[in-house]
This record gives sequence, C-alpha cells and structure tokens, in this order.
Amino acid sequence: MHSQSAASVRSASRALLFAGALVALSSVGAAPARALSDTEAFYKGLEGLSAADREKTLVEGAKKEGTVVWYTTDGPTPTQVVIKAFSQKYPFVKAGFIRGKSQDILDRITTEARAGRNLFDVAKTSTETFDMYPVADVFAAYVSPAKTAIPENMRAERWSSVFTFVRAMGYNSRLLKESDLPKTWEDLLDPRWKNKILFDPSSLPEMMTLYTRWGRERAIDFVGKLGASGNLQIRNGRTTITQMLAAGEAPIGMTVYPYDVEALKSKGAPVDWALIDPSPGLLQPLSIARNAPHPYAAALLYDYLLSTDGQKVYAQMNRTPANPAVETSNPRERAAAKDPRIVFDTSGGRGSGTEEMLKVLDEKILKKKPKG
Amino acid sequence: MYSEKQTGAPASRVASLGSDAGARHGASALPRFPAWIAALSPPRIALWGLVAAVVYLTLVPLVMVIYGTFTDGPPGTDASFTFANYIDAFGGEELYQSGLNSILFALASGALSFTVGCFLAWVTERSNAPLKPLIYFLVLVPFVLPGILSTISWIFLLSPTIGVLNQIVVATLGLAEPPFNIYTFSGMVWAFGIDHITLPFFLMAAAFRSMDPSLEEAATVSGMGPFRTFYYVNLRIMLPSIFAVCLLMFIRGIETFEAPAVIGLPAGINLFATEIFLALRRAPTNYNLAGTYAVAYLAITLIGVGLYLRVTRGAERFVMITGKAYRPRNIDLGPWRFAVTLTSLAILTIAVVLPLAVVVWTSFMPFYSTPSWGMLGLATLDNYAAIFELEEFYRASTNTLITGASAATIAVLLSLGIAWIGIRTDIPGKRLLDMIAFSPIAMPGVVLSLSLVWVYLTLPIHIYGTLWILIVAFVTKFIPISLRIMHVSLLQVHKELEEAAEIANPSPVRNALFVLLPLILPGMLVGWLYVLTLTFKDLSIPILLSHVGTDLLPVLIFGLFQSGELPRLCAMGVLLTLMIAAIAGSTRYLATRLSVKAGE
Repeated sequence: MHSQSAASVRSASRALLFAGALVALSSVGAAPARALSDTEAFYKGLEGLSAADREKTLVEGAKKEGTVVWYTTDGPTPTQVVIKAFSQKYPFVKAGFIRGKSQDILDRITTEARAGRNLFDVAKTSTETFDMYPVADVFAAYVSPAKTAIPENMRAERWSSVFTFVRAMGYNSRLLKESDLPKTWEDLLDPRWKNKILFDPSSLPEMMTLYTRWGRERAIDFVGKLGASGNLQIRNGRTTITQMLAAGEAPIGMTVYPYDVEALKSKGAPVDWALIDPSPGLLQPLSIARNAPHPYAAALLYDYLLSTDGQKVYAQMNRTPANPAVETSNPRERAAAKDPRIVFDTSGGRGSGTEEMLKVLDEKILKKKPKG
Repeated sequence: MYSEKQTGAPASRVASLGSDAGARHGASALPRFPAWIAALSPPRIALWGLVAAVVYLTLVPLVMVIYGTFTDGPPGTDASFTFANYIDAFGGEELYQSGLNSILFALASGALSFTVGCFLAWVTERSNAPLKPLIYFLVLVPFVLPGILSTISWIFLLSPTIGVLNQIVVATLGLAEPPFNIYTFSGMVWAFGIDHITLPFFLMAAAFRSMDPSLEEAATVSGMGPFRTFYYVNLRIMLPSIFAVCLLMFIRGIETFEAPAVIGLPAGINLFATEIFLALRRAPTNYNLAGTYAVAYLAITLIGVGLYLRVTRGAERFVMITGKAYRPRNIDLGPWRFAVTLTSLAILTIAVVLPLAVVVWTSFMPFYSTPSWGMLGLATLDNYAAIFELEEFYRASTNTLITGASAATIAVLLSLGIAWIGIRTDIPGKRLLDMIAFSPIAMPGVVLSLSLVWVYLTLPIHIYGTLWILIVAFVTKFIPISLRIMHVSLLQVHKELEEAAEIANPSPVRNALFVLLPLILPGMLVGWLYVLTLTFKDLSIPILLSHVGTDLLPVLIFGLFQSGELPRLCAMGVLLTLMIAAIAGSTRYLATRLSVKAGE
C-alpha cells in the first residue's frame, strides 16, 4: 500500500539520481536531466498556450480541484491578508495553509516526500535554509509567465523569490545618534560597545556574507576577535532583539529586519536601522510541489503571488516585493536591497564554507566561556 | 460506611488479576479451556487492552527513536548503521560542563518551585487563612502564560538596564548599582522556578486534601509538637507525592528550553538544552542527533523512576483514605491567619502579579516600553482587535480545546489503569510497564513528532493531517505526567475500600465507578487540567503534526512571536489566561460538587 508506493518512489528517485549523475558527468554545465513528474509535464504542456487560454485552462481545472494547500513562512496576519486577496480574485479556490519557520517547512516537505505522500501544492521558504535540502526532489521545474517580471538573480528553475529581506544593524535612536553609529563590522570591535550589542545565534547568513566578501582567512580571524571582544550579548530571535532595542535594553542589535524596525518606528518607538558593510540580503523563494495534488490551483496561487496584484499586497505590508516595478511602502529598504554593501547569495556553491563558518560561529561566539 | 471487620476479608482478591479470579468467574464450568482464556472476563480484557494501548503508544516512537540514534539519516532514506551520533552528542568536553549546569539548574529551580508551591498548597488546603480562591487563581496564572512571555517579562522586570524593579529599588533606596541581574545563574533559576509553582501546588494540594487528621491527632495526643508531627507524620505519608513532584520538576528543569535560551545565552551560561538547541538549529534538522540527546534524558529519567518506585514500594505505608469517614481538618491559625494570607499574597505578587502585569501592560501598548504615565496615553485595544480579526484564532482555539480535552481524558484514564495495575496487582513486569509508560517524558517533542509523522505517513492508518494524530502525540507525551499524578492519588486509597465494595457487590465495573472513582476524582481532575493546559503550551508537537485546518494555539502564539508582534502575543497571553482560568474554575467547582456527593 503506502509503504509500497513509498518504496517505488524511493527506488525511482535513486535511479533518477544515478541517471542525473551520469548526465552531469557527461555534460558539465548543462542542467541535470531528470524525468518530468506529472506536475512538471502538465506545466510543460501549458507553455504553448496564449495567456488567455492558459488562464482559462487553469481556472477551469482549479474550479474542479476547489482547494490549494500552501506551506508558508509568513506570520499569522500576513498569511490571512494574502489569502483573502487571493480568494477575492479566485473565490472558487479554498486556500488552506500551514505556517512555520523555513526549516520546519522543509523538514516536513522532505519527510512527506520520502514517505511518498503528496500533500502540499505551493511552498514559501527562505534562502537561509533552502539549499540545505534536496530541492530538486521536492519542488517542480515551472515556467510561470509571472516569473519574467522578477529579476534574474532572484529566480531559478524551481523557485522565484516573492519578496526580499535585508538584514541591517538596528539601534535605539534615543541612546545613539546616527553619527555615532558603527559603519563596518570592524567598528563593532571598539571597546565602547562592551556588552552593548545584541546578537542572534542564528547568524549563518551574516557569517557567510563576511566569508564571501572577505575570504576565509579574514572572516575566521574577525569572528574570533568579535567573540573575544566581550561586546556581544547573545539574544535568541531577531524580532525579540528589535523589541529589546525599542525598550532600551541595549543600543545596538546585530542584525535585525528593517521592516520590523519600520513597523515599530511608525508607532513611535525609538528604533531605527542602518546598513553595515557587508550585510546579508535574503530571498523568499516560492515553489510548486514536484507532485502537486492540485496542480491547476497551485499554478493560480503561484502566478497570483508573483503578479503585480500579489506583489502589491506584500508591498502594503512593508515587504520589498521582488518585482522592482511595484512600489513599496518601505522605499528605504528597497534602496538598501540595491546597495553594494548588501550581499544576496543563495549559497549554492559555498559547500564546505557553510559547514566551517557554522562551526566558527558556534565555537568562537556561542560557546565561549562566560566573561569574568 | 463499611466497618473495619468486614475488610479483614480476602486481601488478595483485588490483587488477583493473574491468579485466582478465573475460578470465581465460573471457569470451572468450562474445564477444557486453557487457563488464560478461562481467566478472561470483560474487565480483564479491558485492562489488557489498556496495557496494549499504552505499550503501543509509547514503545513505537521510543523504538524508532532509539533505532534512529544508530543510523545516519532520517527514516525513509538509505541510512546505514553508525555510532557517530553518540560520538557527536557526547564526545565534546563542554557537554559535561553544560550537563552539570543543567543538573544544578534543575535542582535549584525545582527546590524553589516545590517550596513555594507546597507552602501555598498547605495554606489553601489545611489552614483557615482567608482569600483562598484568589490564591488558587493566582497560582494557576504562571502555568497558563506561554513560557516565552513570562521569561521576557522577567527581563523587563529584572534586567540591569531596563528592569522596572531595579529602577524602583534604585530610586527608592538611592543605590548606585541596580541590585538585581536576571542574566545570572540565580536569575535563570528564579525566572524558571517561580514560573513552575503550579504543578507542585496541585499535587501537594491533593495530598493535603486527603490527609487523615486522626493521624495528626494521634501524634498530638502522644505529645509531639506541630513540627515533629509534620516531620514524622505528614512528611512521611506524603513522601510519594513529594518524590513524584520532585521527579517531574527535575525532568522539566533538565529539558526546558526557554529560560536557558532567553536568559542563559546572554549570561554565557550554557545548559544541556542549549547545546541541543545549537546542534538542532542546523538545517536539515538532524533527528538522529536529536534522538541521541533524548537517550541521555531517558537514562536520567529511568534512574529517577526507579528511585521513585523503590521509595513507594509497600504501598500500605502511604494510605491516607481509609474506610473511616473523615474530612481533613483545617488548622486554626488564630490571628496568624491574616499574616499567612499576607505572606502568600506577597509571594504571589512577586511571583505572579508582577510578570502578569508586564504582560497585561504590554498587551495595551503599541510596543513595549518601561511603564510610565506618558506611555499610558498610547494605550490601545488594537492588539486585541488584531487577534479577534484572525480566523486562525477561532479555529485554533476550537481545535486546541477539542484536542486538549480528548488527550487529557484519554491520558488520565490510561494512566489510571497503569497506576492501578502497579499498585493493586502482582502482574510480573508491572514495574517495567510503569517505566515504559513513563519513558516518553524523556523524548523531546520534536523527536516524538517526527517519529509519529513517519509512522502515520507509512502505516495504512490515515490519521496524519487530522486532529487524531495530535491527540495520539499529546497522549503519548503527557501520559508520564498523568501517570505520576494518578499513581500518587491511588496510593492514598486503602484497598480495603475496594475489597469491602467487592464483598458487597461483585461487579468490578460498578465498584470502580461508584467506590474508587469518587475517591480519586480530585487527583483525576488535577491530572486532566494539567494535561489540558500543557496542550495549550506545547509547540513542538503541532509544529510538525498540525496540518491544514488542524492548527493549534501554540503555533499561532509562536507565529506572533516570530513575526515580532510582542504586544499581540501579550494580548494572546491575557486571553489564554482567561480561557484556562474559566476551565479551571469550572473544573474546581465540579470537583467540589462531586466530592460532596461522594461524601454523602
């Protein structure tokens, strides 16, 4: 029964991996050939259609399906706002969702896939963890007409970013003037920041940004100094750090989400943010399941989220839409996303660097002996 | 009620699950049947079914977890055999320091929770101090608030830079330095210990409630002072309760994550749980390594249970409820009763009212800021409105209530069965059964959830994606706690009552319903309420097991926390407190009414 089909999926995927490895060996540079899944074959078939025919086909199919299942990293309120907007346009599709962190969602997706159960249609994750999972096994290659509006460095065969984040230095604007702010990571070593910098333990993207910009030696050397400086106070969770900055617990937070800071600032909280060189930019990849149970509705939701309408919904919530033509309510973050100090990197090729920097972060910053 | 003489009748009868009962139920008329079939009677079948259910619920994930610790991949992959997980998990030196920190932390915070909880339980159950319902309500609050909220509240109260209490003390006493620092080992012990007074309170209250006053009177008559009476009589008799509380508190202290993460990390104090958190935040989650850490918890836990079972051997020593009609006597404190109430309220103000006040205050603010008259002008109801606008709130509340109430009911009934077998029968392996049923307490929720995901994704039992899988997970995870509560409750009931009932009426079902059940009802309700409340707080299970439409409140709470909506999270905390207080209030009302009926 199920275990049987799971076994056949497993053996099939093993065969595919093997075939893929052969192809990759013989034709370096070409995308590894994999047999198309039913979902992928269906989308391939749509590619010849005109925009109107395509929409008509999808709408008719989605009416029969009636449901779409979305796994998302969005918070409770944004999820509801986006789904409301979607169901206004397509009232015949009921969108169900699961929310979680990117890691939770990908853990779940890969487990379900290994068990041979196809339960989700669309997933939104984060580049922070994206590349650490067998993406090609669980997400479909999909050419969406909506995808073309997204800059090329923010999309690939199996995903496209819906919006972007930058991570910046947050500060309490009552305790610090803009002119006193550190400009680079090296400035953070200054003894006057003793115990004054709130630092999130999940800072792999920050570490990798240093690694990419500075190279291995310099990055490792610097992280060691930062850990030994006694300037960092470890705080779990960037949103907590932002709240703590607003409350005046410490003057600086490394790093925070500007949209989060802007939301508090607009309510009158004494917080602000600034870029520090270099800082990470993160993508929010949207993907369709390789074996989607509702492929018609999945394509509708996916295309909607990347369309101008969908992008506007995100923009109204202070996010920076991936489509550069869509105005945002947070122009500062949009400008920051284009700033040369920001490194957008999906980390695909960094391999051993990731492992090494994670270890350095653990050993030099998180597990060092308590001071005094 | 029944006289003492009648109960001198066959003592072994109730304890006859495996031996002589066949004859009584007429097996002699069917001589050709094998003994074990002949011995089957409906209650016996029910009992064995119950054993099978508990063993299935607990052993399946346990076996999967232990198997996983010896492989190098998640279930469903071509993982091969390895010892690498054990080397990774226990090879590092720093683990021993953090392990030691964990043990010290668990002991210190457990001692704090126990002392405070036990004192308050004595005040509400055995003294004539006024304002008991208020005390009862306040003790419940820390239990209801999400752990992340109360931990953050303690930072807002006791941080050296922004702590309100520090500011007040510095201003009134004119100190140069803030006197408190939450970011220390004792700060962490305080925040966690004071936040966990509810379980010791409940369990000790149940023990105080069923204390036979004639024992105390006998001690007084033979010339013992109140302190010696307490030491030689009360303390001895309540030993199982005390031991059970300490065991549960110790395990809770070892495995807790919030205080070590929110206070320990900034303080530079790493606990065992911190190490696990750091190891598991790598994607993809290494379930094999997580399971390996769980084995360490399991070992500690089993040692604890072994000790508990040794201490409580010879159940008769702890019996409090006998055939005599009595009602625990409230000790008349005279004028001291006001002092006792004031002390209790002072403790509860510091322990409960202050953090709750921070949460309530923040729930009306656009963002947290040190309370001041100026900020009061910014007060708003937006955070509550935002919660009420979420469709997910209504769905998650309903789901959580259904799941929690079902899981609590099943867990209490199953663990009552296990406890009854352990105390009243001589089945071989009953101690092993207790240990098996108790073992899930050592399993981190994430490990338990993943093994259940896998079991129910691959077995043709289609409960993944329904509320059932959540109920199964919660029952498994919380049987250990309700088992300890039911074990303690049952230890206190003398078996002469059941024996007497059996002579009067040979139907075991009727006797269980009308004699045993009313006597242990207070304990059952405590267990039920406790498990129900835990389902309102546990995130690790729904984060992997909830599916579309089966979302639970902890996932919503975590979502609010993750998306930086602290004031909304606080509003949610206030709503939760009200919800659970309502449930607890009606449970207590029901308990009082039912036990009055049973006493009539």
